[in-house]
Amino acid sequence: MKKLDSANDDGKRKIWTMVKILIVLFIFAVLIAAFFNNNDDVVTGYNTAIIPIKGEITTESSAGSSPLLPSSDVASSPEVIANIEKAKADPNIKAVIFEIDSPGGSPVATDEISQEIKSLHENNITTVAWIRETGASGAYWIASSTDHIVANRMSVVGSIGVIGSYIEWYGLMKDYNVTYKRLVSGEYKDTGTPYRPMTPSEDVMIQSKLDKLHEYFIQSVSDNRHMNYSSVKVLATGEIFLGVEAKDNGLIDELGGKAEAIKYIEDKKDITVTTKEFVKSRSFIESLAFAMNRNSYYIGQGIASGLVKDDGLKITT
Amino acid sequence: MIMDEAVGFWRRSGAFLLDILIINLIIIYPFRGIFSNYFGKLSFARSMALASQAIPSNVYWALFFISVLALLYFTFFDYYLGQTLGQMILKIKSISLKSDDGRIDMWTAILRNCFVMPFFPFYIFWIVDPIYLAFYKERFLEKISATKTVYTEEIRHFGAKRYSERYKLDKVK
Repeated sequence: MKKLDSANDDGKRKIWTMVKILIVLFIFAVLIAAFFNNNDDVVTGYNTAIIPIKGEITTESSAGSSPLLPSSDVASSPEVIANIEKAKADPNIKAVIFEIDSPGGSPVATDEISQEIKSLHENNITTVAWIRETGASGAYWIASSTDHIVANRMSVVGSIGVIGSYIEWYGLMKDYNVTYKRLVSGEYKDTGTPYRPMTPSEDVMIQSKLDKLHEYFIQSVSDNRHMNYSSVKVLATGEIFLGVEAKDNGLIDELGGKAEAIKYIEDKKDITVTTKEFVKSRSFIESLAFAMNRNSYYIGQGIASGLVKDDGLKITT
Repeated sequence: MIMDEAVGFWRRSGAFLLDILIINLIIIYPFRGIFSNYFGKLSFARSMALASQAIPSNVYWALFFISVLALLYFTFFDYYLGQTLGQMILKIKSISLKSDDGRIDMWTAILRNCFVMPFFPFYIFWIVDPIYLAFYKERFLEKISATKTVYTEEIRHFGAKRYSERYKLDKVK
């Protein structure tokens, strides 16, 4: 009987301890949650998005070919556009700062991002390009789509031009008695292959495409920056300009950095800027992969890509 | 029923799922407003998976506090009762192999349950622990914290001393 009583007491004590633990944890949870809920600005206090555009501009995803491999450092147009759309859909966002550090890249990816930036204007969202080390070529094209461009006096800006240069291997192949067996239907099907020299007509054809892209580039900068076509064309030699030079020739609006970008927004929108970075969230697997040593992967990638990379014609801005 | 064997993977997973349900009700539920503001329709599990990534610092801190409270849930139950609610329902228990009475001290309980923190390096155990459990019938964190999950009935019949003695013998070997 005594044993039974003791078992009952033990059971009661256990239940009481259990209840106490649950109550304590629940009270703590409610108190902490209340703190976060009452500090609304802690939750939704941002009004300006910062969207980074770093590395080569590409239409591909920044994720590696496998989710287990680390992401590569590229400005992927689908990801940048997704971040812009996220900012557009967020009612808190009054302005977007594009943090640019890129040498350019794919003309298509560049145009996609540029068009998406322009769509922000329709939503009355102010846009500022904050060029850090480099805002050249396609990256400058993107910057020109914003309302205001800020760059450091030593930043590399401009390079308004299109490039399609590549290495031709046929001389080396000839030395090693390797020949290129041309099997095409269509005269220009293998234009740009590094295994044979370009014909004069191919040269003319490719050059005309590059010129056309160059025209688009100049026209876009001219429209975006409200500059005369002819004055942009003078600058569109592919030359890079230091920030201080770019300010003098009108390619940028202001010398400075993040503080100047924020001040422009504050003056224009009459708000106190609080920023929030809009970047692609990594999946759990990607995070794990990131935690692993990236160096060994990149060494391997370097060797492998050196072996298999096709160095044929690739047009970039 | 005396089984004298390690508790199986599925029973343990069931107990863990029950605990997660309870944590969801007691700890996560009060935070639902914060997460609906930021994550919208994202599940809490996905929010946790993104915890160390680019999310506002406030949400990051909310996740941090939730994981601390979840850690306290497992720690308090292990420390005060030797079993969590999920384990109680499925009639299993956690014991320390270092003490003859099987009682788990606070630090051991924290070590054994630190996997609930969704931050590096703790989330490594989200993968390591289940794999280790599938192969060795104990979690890796149990191995390093010298604890074991056993059937409640077994402890009632044989006592915890049997396990601590076996552990000491294994250690000598």
